[in-house]
Amino acid sequence: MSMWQMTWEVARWEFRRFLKPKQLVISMVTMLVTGSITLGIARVIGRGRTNIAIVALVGGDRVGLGADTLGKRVALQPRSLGSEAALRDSAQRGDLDGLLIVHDAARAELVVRRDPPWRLDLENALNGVAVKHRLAEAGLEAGALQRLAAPMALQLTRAPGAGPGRGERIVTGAVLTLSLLGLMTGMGFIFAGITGEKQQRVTEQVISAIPPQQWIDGKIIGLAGVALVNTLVTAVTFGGLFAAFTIATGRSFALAVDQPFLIPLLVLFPLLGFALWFAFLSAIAATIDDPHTSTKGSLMMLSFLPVVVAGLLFTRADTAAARFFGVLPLTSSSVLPLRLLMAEVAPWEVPLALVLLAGTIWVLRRAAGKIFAVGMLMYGKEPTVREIWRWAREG
Amino acid sequence: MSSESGEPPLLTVEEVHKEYGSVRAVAGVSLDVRDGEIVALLGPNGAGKTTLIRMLVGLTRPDRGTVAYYIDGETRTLLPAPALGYLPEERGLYQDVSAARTLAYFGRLRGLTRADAARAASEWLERFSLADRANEPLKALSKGNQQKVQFASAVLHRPRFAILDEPFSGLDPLNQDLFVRTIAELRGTGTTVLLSAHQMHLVERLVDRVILLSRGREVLRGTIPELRRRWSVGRRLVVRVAGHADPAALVGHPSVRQVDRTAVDELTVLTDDGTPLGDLLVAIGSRCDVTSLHAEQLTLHDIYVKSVEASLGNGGAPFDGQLPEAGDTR
Repeated sequence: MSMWQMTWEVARWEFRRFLKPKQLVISMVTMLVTGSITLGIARVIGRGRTNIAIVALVGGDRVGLGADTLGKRVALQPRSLGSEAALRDSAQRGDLDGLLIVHDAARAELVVRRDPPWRLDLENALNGVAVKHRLAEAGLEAGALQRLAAPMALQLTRAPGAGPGRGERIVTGAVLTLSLLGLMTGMGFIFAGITGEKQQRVTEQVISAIPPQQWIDGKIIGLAGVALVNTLVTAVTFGGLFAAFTIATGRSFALAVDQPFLIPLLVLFPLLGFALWFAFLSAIAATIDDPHTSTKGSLMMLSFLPVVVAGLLFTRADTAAARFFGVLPLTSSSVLPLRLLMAEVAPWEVPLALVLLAGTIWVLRRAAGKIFAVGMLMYGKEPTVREIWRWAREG
Repeated sequence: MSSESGEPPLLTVEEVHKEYGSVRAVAGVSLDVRDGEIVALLGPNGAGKTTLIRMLVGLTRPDRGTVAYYIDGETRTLLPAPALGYLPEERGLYQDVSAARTLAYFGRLRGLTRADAARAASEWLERFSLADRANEPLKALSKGNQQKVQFASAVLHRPRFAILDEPFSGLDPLNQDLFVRTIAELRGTGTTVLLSAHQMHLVERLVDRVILLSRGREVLRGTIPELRRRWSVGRRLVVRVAGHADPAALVGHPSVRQVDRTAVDELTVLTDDGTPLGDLLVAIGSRCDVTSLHAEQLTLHDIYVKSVEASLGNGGAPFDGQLPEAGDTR
């Protein structure tokens, strides 16, 4: 059997072992049901009547504030200055939701039993009242006040293909979300697949039959396949749901990618990122003796690095930092797609990023193979980072 | 080293050393296994058997020395996957996968076509009476049945050379017998076997030669008759008597070198090799109320225990087969 056939046989085995269509369907249905329930609860909460706090107001006439409902949460009821002491007692006992004493446009006091959830609403409303009062004091008439407060309407006119619009942002968000989903799913399968194999003590017999490099390659391909299928099923399920919801509610639904030639790159880079990080994850998993107590599990979080960096650069895709991380192999799998969709990309960036990423995958794959060869046969103790580094260099 | 046919042995190990830190796991072991043989690699726990086996399989490399296989006219340092069968001491199976799929997978890894692997899997499950449970996940099988699947996974491709590390551990006597027969059949169909085991009565029934390790060194080697001859310092007669056995009845007889009471009603009499037994048997018959009498050979278990004890008393150096003191056999 050739090396490639061995790799393929392992990949097929891992794929069939971990892909469980029935469980996948059950998992999707469960997620849909859970999501629907959560959404329903959110809507019920959103539609529910908000309790309006009744706040006695003393001295409101000093800033032109009278009986009013501030936002949807606070109703002011003006009272006389003489009743302040009695009202203060009532508010502190909780008989009243609160007592607002306005001293002037710069100073007010809120008496309550405890810090209320509507405090911020009240503060914002009072600030608006204070500004109006000061402007009125400055002698501006009502019409002028309205004109001052009126917002400027901004109409956006974009040149075709000249920058990211809502469609590009949705596509970018979808690419990053799917990348994260794929990495998380793959991490789970690789962790379970490799540490489980070690714990079941299968490794020695397998490794006597095939070279460790073919074994790890096969595992990466097979488990990546499972992760991709899971990710795609999740994406199709929730993407379809999102599309249906958007169309049903009459909202616009445009996943625009102005340049169709970008689509293969938007698929290729995340896939290469999976290859790179899955090789890394396999090597780390092979060094873990007991997944319940190992501290190396936290190293696996490093695989989220490209998506995290891309997320941080989401609104800064055209910066020098974004350009750097767009070609850096550890982050380019997510940052370059971000830049392709959201910024101007120089012609050299794509080939450079591709070459660097492919080269890094090759080096990491070989190093992972060496680590895997030793780590998979090590039981009872975990290697130090220094030992792992030595294995990777020396094999 | 070469066989009678003039060809080199299938496996030749020369002066192999392996150390882990300050622990000398294997210290200068040499051995050979000829085509068609069943050879037992014996030794107490920590003797270096598994370390040596791992080097033979290629899982680790010797610090010094060489491992060479001669197969199909070529000398190699490692056997190709289809030629090797390996049952490791440290073993397990994919608990969530069925026996049939597991065996077919290992068959594929060992170079069988998909159809041949499936066929071999069925044959071995049939042989081990597991055909009706072929599609159950392994976790549903008993430990003994899992052991059968494990064994089959190591040899279903009919390798030229099988290394079986503790094949009998965890098996009940019936399944131990089954494995003994199966290993003998494997040899009959062209598989050379190197096995490591602690069940001396099974090894004795099965193997052609024994290599005994202690503290990483070879302390004894040979066929079982050779080992018996080397160890034997006389003939041993076991005499059962009615009532209480009294050694004094035979002490002083010229043919008796030593006599011990080995049970309330049993005497064990040691004579020199070649001593005529006629007089002695008459004496036994006249002085004891004999209910049964038989001659006993040294078992492999006896040889093993004596050799290891002697080697440990000798700092682990190779043992020359000479007893420290004549008659000190019990």
